[in-house]
Amino acid sequence: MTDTSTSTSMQNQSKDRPSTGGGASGSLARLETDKGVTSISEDVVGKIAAIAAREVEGVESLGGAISGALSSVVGRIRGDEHKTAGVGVEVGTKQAAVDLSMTIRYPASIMDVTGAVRQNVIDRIETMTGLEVVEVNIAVNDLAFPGGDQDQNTGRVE
Amino acid sequence: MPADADPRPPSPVDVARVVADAARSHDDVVDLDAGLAGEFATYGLGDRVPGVRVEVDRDGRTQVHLRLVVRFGRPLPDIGDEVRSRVAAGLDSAAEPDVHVHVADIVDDHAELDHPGAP
Repeated sequence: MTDTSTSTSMQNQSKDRPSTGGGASGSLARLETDKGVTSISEDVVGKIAAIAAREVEGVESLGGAISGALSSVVGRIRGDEHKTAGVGVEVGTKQAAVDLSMTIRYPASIMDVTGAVRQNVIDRIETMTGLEVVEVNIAVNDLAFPGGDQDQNTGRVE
Repeated sequence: MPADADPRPPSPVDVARVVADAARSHDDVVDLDAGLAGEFATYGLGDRVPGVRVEVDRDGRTQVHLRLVVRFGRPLPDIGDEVRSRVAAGLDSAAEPDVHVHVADIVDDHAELDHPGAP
């Protein structure tokens, strides 16, 4: 659908996804000092991405469509509601990649909003975690109208 | 190892309690996190300190592991460093421990966050 995987920091395809060390599942950002290690869990990076995306005017909500349905089920199981619905992150020791799906508020320019989201997500993650964000893919899968009936069934029959 | 003639070294729970207090004294630390099942803790006589593990490794060096819930906003590595030095200062033992800080969760105060892309 409307995948704005075009602009700015996008390389074609996900060719340089972050190099997740060796340790598979326990993937987290690590910063070693001579007095101990600071590590950041993948969930934390995902939450930062979610908060950063919502900070942008014109973003109605995250999630939606299939990915939203899936992650909200996962979210409900894990008990954190839709905190990180619509957000996928891949975190290595030094880099991160982010996938977002979202609903945008109607007359806003999709390109402008997604551009601002991409920039804010990159800024937030990079300043807060020290990770380099190699890509932010954004899938816009719905529009919200000020009238607010975007979720209702618009079929002709009742 | 210069393991001085310490009459009675503090027990892991004693150390963990000091560590937990030091970590909580930081403004950006909302809480300590004991893990999904609450298993991440230091256990001792009649007490349990969640979110902290104190271990002594093979070289006799104290390794402190902390799981933190942090407030959204400031750079996490900075918070980690500050917590690390507070913990070290709180312990002031000769054999200064390694302090490993894990940011397990982050909370958004829902306060004004309207400064996108701060400098």
